[in-house]
Amino acid sequence: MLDCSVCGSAIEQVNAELCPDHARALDSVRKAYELWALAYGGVALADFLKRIVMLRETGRSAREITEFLKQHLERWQR
Amino acid sequence: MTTLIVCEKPDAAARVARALDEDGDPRRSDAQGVPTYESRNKHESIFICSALGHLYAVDSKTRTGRRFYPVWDFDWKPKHLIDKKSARLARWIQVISGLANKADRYINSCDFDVEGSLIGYTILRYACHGADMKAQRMKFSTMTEKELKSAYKTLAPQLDLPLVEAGRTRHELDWLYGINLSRLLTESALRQHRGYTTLSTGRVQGPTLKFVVNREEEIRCFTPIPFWTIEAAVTKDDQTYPLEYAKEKIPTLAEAEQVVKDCKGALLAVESAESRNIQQSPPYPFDLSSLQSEAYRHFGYTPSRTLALAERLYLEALISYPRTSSQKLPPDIGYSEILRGISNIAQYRSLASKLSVQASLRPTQGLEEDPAHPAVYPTGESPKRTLIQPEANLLDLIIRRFIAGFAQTSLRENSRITLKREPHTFFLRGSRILREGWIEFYKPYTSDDSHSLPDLKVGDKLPLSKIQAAQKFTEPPPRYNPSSLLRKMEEENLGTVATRAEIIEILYRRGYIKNIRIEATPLALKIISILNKYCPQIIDPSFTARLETSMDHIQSLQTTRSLVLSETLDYLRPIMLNLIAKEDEIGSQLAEVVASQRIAVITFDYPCPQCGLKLSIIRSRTSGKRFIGCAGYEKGCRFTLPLPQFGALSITPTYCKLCGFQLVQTRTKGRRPLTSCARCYSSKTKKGGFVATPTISTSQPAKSGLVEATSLVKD
Repeated sequence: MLDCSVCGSAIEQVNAELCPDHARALDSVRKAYELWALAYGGVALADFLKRIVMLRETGRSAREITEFLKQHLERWQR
Repeated sequence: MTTLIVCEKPDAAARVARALDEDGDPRRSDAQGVPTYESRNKHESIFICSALGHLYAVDSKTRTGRRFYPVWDFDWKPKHLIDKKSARLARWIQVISGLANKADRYINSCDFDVEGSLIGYTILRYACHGADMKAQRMKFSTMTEKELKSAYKTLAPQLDLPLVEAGRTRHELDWLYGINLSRLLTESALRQHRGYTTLSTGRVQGPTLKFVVNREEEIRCFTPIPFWTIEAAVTKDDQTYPLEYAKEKIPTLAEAEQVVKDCKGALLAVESAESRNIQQSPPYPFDLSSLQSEAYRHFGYTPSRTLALAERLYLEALISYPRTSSQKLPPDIGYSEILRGISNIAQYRSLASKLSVQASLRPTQGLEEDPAHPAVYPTGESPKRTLIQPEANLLDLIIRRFIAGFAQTSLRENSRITLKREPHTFFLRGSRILREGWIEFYKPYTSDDSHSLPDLKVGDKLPLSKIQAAQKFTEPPPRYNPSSLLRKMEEENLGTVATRAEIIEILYRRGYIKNIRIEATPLALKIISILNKYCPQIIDPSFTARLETSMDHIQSLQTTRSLVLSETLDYLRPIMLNLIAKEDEIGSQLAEVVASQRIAVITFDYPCPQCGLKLSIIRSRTSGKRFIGCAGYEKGCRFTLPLPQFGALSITPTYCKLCGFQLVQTRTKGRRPLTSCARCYSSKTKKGGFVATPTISTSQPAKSGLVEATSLVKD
């Protein structure tokens, strides 16, 4: 059994790297990126990640996965 | 003839006894500390006794061990045999049985609802030697002398058995669910040797917790999206009026900038000016849920506290029975008599006199009905004692709502002026009250959002004094609070008016939820994730709602108790067997989070002021008392602080404004949560009260030397 790359909790699903909570948060961050790009007419991924970490509206799991992605940009690819 | 009347509570018994005694002075006796009354009239002697809530409860028929599961056989037993804390109820049953021996007529006079009918039924059946078969039912909605006398004269010839059957089924189903699932969760975690914590779930508790957990997950995973709004204003006669842009949210920066560019320095032309009058009907009378919701909105009282306060007002004959789903007031409650009574209270005299000149009295009625009771209304009696502030607040709310219901509709004029700068449209909105109507009667519980508009005609032009695009971000969904969670339960048909508030309190007590803006704890997230994985049916709100409907059908004789029970057992058995097969797996997942939560809930973030190590809540092995102690005790640190000894204690994430120490909150059933600073309290008592005492910003006095923390919490 693997551990979640972000929080270290056990993952039961085969071939998964994230726990359900962080997997859902990653999905939310990815969808948000598309909308941010539309809103600003394009935005660099690194800028986007930097900004959403600072926003008070960002949820805890979304913030944690964003911090993780900032360190591991290569994980952004699906 | 000797009659025995069974009431639900001692206060109710005293009131019934006074009403039925011809001199209004019944003889009270206190055999074994159990109050009973003897009322006399020309024809008979009436003994009045009371329960203390339920004296009998469901328990396993054959298995007495509290740790065994699954259990499928059950029986009704005296509560003192099931629960050690209910030991004093043994005396209650003994006294009632003694009185039953003397009686030849029996009356159930408990509250007329499912619980009241069941409480009376079990007492008459088990404590009064099968008197349920010949007992009569006394039905009333207020505890006024007049209504009690009238109810005694018009007794129903037998008990309300459909209501009793529905009540029995509810208790038995809840027991089957609660005992089996809760024991499985608790025991499977305990077997991992990481310490004991009571873990519970149930037919209503599980789905309710799921709502909170779902919301928590949405909030945790939320990522904000930018959008823009146009902030604009026009000035006329030195007064600035804010404008509303036709599009509330603009999704792209380019579009928002374009609007600003197009309109900067432009003249707006008035395209149209419309206004229409809107009549607003008075608010409908209170059912319990709307009363709880309104009390939370205006006073911040949790639903369980509102219910406790309302029950006290009911027992003092100041309001009608509060556990009602009805939003209707039938004429037979005597509108004019109640209004006459209300007009005797100085603060309502002028309002009530305004209604007395009306040709006819017809209150607004809501849609919901309850066959047992009308909506909550004041009896018109004046309080016989000085009410404490929360009681007075609630009574004021109920009285004003009642009288507002008879008042005229209010008339409001809503205006809208449309201004154009092609292709952009702006609106100026205004509103004013033309006729106050019921609003006058319901003050201060209404808000007035009137604002006037400038005098403009079609074709007029005026410059924009301000225009800018403001960047904003979408917000996560709001957290539930006790009131909105209760409303959600009601929408989903979970629980009853009588049980919903208590279920929310249980979730707090179990450590599943915390804070007034409800947050699910890691334990709640784990419990719901486990139940979702292994038995999703248990936390499916639609299944619980179906059972509620079945119980309504028992009440309306469309189905029977045994049918509903056997269907439920067929449903629950395979679920339990499946869970039992996986209990090790479940236990290991639970034990981990139980252990970490146990440490988290008792450890303060604020370090020990003497040695800097962690402070935590400790219970003394010798005295059993709890206090704050330091982790550095073994190294010689003797720093301690006292804590309230009663109620469920939790450490809040807020800090004292005076000393910076982390605040603690105590929750006691039916009372407002008390947030206090253990450190200021400590200084105050130890040094003789000379430490600066913070201002108490609420209308209630501080309790037991603990400082009300409303004014202490740091922003």
